[in-house]
Amino acid sequence: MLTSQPVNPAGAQTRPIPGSGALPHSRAYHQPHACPARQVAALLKLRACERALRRVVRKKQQGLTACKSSEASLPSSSWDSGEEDYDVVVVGAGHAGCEAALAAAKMGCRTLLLTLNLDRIAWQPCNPAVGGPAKSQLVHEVDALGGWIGKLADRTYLQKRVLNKSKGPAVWALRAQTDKLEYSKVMRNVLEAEPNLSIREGMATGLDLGPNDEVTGVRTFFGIRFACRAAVLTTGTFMNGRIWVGKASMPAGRSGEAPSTGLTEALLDLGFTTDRLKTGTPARVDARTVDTSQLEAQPGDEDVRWFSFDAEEHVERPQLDCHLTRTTAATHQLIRDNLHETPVYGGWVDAMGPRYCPSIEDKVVRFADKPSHQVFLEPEGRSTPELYVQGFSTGLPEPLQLRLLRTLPGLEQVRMLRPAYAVEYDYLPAYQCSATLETKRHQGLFFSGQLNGTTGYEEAAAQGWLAGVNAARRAQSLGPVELSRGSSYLGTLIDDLVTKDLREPYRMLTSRSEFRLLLRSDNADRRLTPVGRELGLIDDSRWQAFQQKQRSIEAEKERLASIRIRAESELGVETGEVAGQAVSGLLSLDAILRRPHVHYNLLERHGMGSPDEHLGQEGREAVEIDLKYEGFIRRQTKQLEQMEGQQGRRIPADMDYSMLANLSLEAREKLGKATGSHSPKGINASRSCDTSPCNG
Amino acid sequence: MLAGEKLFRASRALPKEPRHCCNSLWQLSRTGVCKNHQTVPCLPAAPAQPAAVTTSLQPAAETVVLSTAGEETIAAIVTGPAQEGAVAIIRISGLHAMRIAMAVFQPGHKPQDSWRPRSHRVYHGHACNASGGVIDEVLMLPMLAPRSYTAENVVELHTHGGGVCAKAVLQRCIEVGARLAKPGEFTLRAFLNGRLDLSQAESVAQLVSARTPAAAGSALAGLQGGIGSVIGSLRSEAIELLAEFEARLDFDEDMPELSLTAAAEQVARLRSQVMDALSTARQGHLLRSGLQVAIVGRPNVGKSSILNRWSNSQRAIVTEIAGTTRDVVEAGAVVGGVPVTLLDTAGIREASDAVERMGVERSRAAALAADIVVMVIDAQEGWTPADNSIFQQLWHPEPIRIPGRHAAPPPPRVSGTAVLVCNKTDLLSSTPAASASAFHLFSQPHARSSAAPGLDEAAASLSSGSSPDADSNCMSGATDGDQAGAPFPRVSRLHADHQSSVAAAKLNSSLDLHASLAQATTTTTSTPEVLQQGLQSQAVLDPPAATSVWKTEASDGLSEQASDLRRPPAETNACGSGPGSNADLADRSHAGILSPDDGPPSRSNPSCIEHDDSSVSSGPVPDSGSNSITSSHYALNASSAPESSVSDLDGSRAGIVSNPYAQAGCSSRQSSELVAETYQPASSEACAEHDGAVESNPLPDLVRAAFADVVSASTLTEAGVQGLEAAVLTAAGAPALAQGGASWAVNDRQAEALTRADEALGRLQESIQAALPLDFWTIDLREAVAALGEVNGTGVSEEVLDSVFARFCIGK
Repeated sequence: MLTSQPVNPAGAQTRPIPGSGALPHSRAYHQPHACPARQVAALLKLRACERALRRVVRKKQQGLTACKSSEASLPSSSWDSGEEDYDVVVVGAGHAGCEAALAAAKMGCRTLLLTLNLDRIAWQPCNPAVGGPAKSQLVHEVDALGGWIGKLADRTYLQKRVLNKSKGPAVWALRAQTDKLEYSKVMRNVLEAEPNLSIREGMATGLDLGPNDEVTGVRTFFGIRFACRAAVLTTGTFMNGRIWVGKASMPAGRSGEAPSTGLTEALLDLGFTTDRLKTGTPARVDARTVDTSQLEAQPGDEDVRWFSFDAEEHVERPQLDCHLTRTTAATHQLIRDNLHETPVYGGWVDAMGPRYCPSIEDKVVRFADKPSHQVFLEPEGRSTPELYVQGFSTGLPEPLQLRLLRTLPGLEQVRMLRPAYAVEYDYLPAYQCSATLETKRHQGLFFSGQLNGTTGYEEAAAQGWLAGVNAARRAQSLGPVELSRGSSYLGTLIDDLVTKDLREPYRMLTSRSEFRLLLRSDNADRRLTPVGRELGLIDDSRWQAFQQKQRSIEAEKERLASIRIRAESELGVETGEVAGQAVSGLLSLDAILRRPHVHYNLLERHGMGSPDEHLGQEGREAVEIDLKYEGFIRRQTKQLEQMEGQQGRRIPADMDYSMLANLSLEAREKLGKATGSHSPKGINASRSCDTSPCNG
Repeated sequence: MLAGEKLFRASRALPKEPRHCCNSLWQLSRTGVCKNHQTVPCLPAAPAQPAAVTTSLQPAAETVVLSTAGEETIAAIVTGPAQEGAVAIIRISGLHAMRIAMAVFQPGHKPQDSWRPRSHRVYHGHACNASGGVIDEVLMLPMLAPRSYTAENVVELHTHGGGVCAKAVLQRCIEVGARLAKPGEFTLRAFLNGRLDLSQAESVAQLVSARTPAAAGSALAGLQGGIGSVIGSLRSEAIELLAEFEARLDFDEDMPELSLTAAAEQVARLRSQVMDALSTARQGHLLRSGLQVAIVGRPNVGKSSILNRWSNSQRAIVTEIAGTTRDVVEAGAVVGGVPVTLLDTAGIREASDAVERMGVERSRAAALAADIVVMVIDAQEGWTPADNSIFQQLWHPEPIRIPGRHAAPPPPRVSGTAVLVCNKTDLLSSTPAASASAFHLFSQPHARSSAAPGLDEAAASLSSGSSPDADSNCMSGATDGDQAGAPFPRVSRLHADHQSSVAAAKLNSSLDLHASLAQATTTTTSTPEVLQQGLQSQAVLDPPAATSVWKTEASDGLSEQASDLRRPPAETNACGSGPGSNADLADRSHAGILSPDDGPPSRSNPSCIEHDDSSVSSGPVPDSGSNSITSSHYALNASSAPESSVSDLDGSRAGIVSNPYAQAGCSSRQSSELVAETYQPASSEACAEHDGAVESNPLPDLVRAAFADVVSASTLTEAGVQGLEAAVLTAAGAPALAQGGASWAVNDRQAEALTRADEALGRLQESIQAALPLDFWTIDLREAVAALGEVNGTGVSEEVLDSVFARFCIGK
């Protein structure tokens, strides 16, 4: 079965390990290759450009050791034990799992990606869209770190728009509708092209532990054991998933897919706490039965922007329109007449869904004064007629759903392809993890994605990247990687997850970051690409492009400061007009750019644009933002420094939080919980626990 | 192999942590008791064994999970010094309070098996020692958690006072397991248990240490949630506004357009509310710390009478003999609820007597250290040279010249706010004209101070560096305003008068300073009183406008002359160095003021200096030529006193003024003489006739300027004292107290947080004004919310989201 692994140019793939049965599991990873030297050499050749010399040497040594020990140990067949050996096993091939597996594999770990269904890799079960406020920042960040979600969205978009254009550079949000079928296919191709990575269908049901409670393997339902040094669980909504349509429910991870059973129990057995969350997705309708002629079209932006900082990914595609319709009085009436049929108002489900995804009945009841609510019709792919009815999720039974849809203008004749449904699932409150997403209980076990109580592909991908990197570092016996709150949305996300209680699936929002002016899309590469490079996830050509861009930005800032123009010049006069303030004397170009309402294109119109072709649109924007908002940025940087200054102060491990006079009660409770076996590491961690020290 | 067999027999029935219905202590802080546990717990039977009590008490403690649950049980005598009072109270608080109390307490009636003390009942009995011997007859009040001060189990034992009994009972409590409470520990526990918020806990301390009923009233208002609820509602308002903004950033598509004007209005409203809260800070500080008020003046102007009258005592000896008071006499008084320490001082004069000299020195020291200096003068005599001399010594002391040292360190001067009392007004009534004139002279500024907004405005514009209003007012010269409501009518009148001189000066294109000033003198002396009064007003109001505009115009032309004219005032000083003729005295006063190195702060407007050639931004200059004399006049100041600094601007109100003198004075002896004649027309004559009445001894501007207020008073009338009290409170920055208002007031820590909130809101207003993108508004608003939260000790982030989701229809 192992030899049936797909595309594997180097041939350096997982093998049964002779003799591993004779050794403790914790050692098993030392015998990875039957004929290691040549394979390693081939591997190296393939990815030479990505590997630091240090790692090459280490790898070779490892190979040699492995060779020796396999000679020394018995060549008895490992087929008997039903074992396969990996550095990292990733359970689940959703958006978290794919990122985790790709990161681990790129970092040189022999990685297995285990999924329930090979045809649903990187599936988008809800809205096939990537980005949006705060989420787009996450995507940019993951891309800057060498992750894939940005590239995938750029490769498979149907439509792109920038939201919040007028509301400040820190909240500009790129949002793409993607082709969900294509997305899945492209991701599968990416995975298959990764030489260190195997994909496999199977249902994980248990974990093996070593003598020190460290993870040594993953077991599947059908009895296979995959030995590993680190395992990343990204099981999404599949753990004991149950979907609901009206009063009817069935066990399912997603509509039409069986749930994963057994793993929750295994984790409970290991002492983990699980809890239950609920979310939902609206109906899909047949685009061919929608009369779009009477609906407002929402086209994509003409000036297409990109998630990925990699210019090679910037390939434009034809765009599709979304359409906007609205609920009518008939819709509201129908809902009010049938409230008793909905799970929440009918009273048979007490869990409320996430507040940012209210059901249409919620909207109608809670905001009764609003005569109408927007409903967006979004295409799900170029090759499918499915339309996603955004803003219209409901708990009503299926017969009523269709009637409800037909009250919307343009949808009078609509045919429904899939009903809206809600899904309940187990999650593992993430205070059981450290900021590396490794569980505090078991070394080498990582939780990531929706399993941690988040929602959204972007949040999942970001966690997946971090868990994958740390799993690889664990497998390679390297130190952990953490991202601080002030470094990124990713860091903020993790910090929130591991220190705060959830009461609904966690969605990233710009208001969750205290430092969002510093955590912008345009500087995500500046903030994080060096980290990605350090980890070996940014290749040379990308690194060079990055450095070139930064040099250009710096050079441009110097140029702008050095050129001065007279106030009477055309540029000076127009500056005064645009900014609404008189200008006088000599003006440097950067001073002009600092004036309100003045943008870089004004300089360009007057022939004062940058001569540097490497600067590009993003570079120019970065320069302008840095200059224009310098004061605010400096202030927030200072706040960040103050906060991080406190981070240095460690909280004693045996600190009794209940004795702290200056923490709110709520915070004391949370800290006590987050403590478990490990305390939050610094003052900073406790600060993020929603606390407010009384004495400033 | 380890976990294998476990895998499939796992069940989800893992016991979850038990959740206590009362574990949200927030509930407790609101209601004192959790809704689910309103039944009053019944105490266990009177114990034969203390241990039994402990265990049977468990359920009561368990219903509430207290933050201090793991702490020791504490006890203390809570009724202050035990020697006083017939009853002393010992409070025991903590999990084992009941066990400890029952080990000490023996009920007075015959104990039956079924007897159990109940919560919130009073029991009579005896406190006994280990061997059962009676220590005292006591009352016992059990107050079980959470319905107690600390929200823990509390038992109070009321013993006899006098120290011995209470100490013995406390000792017994400690023997059976209590720990002696530290100061404030009961309140700390109440705070930790969510019974009080931080501002309430602070109010308790203030209440206990209050020295006047008003201070206690204010603390009580704070304890009852005054600060907490006001700041709390301010904060939730700010959060709602923040939610408006944030929702539009995260849920762009779902939201209607933001109303800019509504947002700006709400920010302005928030800010004014923060300011209101902040304005109580000064009041709170006064109520807590009180005031030191030094009464200074010449001998025999009635300082001691004022002290006696004020403190309702005969603390100081009052005689007709000048110099009766030799030492500083202290007396306590309560002014508008503020505990005031009055310091009567020896009359300041050149004393020959060594004892009196020491007394004078102490007077000086007292004045320098006081929060408020009340200077008393005799209404019959007006501002005499002797008064002037005291004024100079205290407010503008000459640097002590140490031979061999080049620069003398600036001597200490009065830093507190000052109030001038024109005493003995009752004696003026014999000469109606004089009294009228005294009224005119002294009550005029007083009247103006009642138009304090205007003054504040001027002060504000001083610091902000631009004052369009003041400009137009001073420069227009057209409005001949005595019209009611016109804040500064006299200013305009002055300028009307000035017009003639100005016109004359216009001819003098060479800007000959001497000539111009002479012209000005001749013209203006014809209406000395008007000018005098005008300048009084101008002194207060003009500086920003006058200096900045005029200076910039003429500074180029004049700087040369000015530097010629500017010579060290050594000569002046020398001539005025000894006590001599009145003219000399008058002169000396000016010399003292005018010497460049120790002169009073002269005002300049740095922002205008930058705009040398653009008169546009520095305000309207209707007719630059016609102003040339004034210009030259002020330009001297600009060029010769470049060190006049902005930093002076933010000083006390007493320091706002004094411009014309400083400017004129910064020139030379020659010009200072001119100026002296110009602005103090009466001084020489007045000093010649020493016994002249008030109208011939008017109050110089500089002096007027140094005082926050001028009060006419007679020690014989109650009204005079009331006026004085109001003036002192106003000068101390708490005018509201004069009306007897004693609501809650913020303390220093809260004020600091409120100041930060205010600053953040100010920046937010700027951002809105500058049409910065929405995201930037949130930065400062968040800061404001955080700062407001610090007042009560509450956190932010989730609340914003809660508000967003509660109020807007959002999401897919």
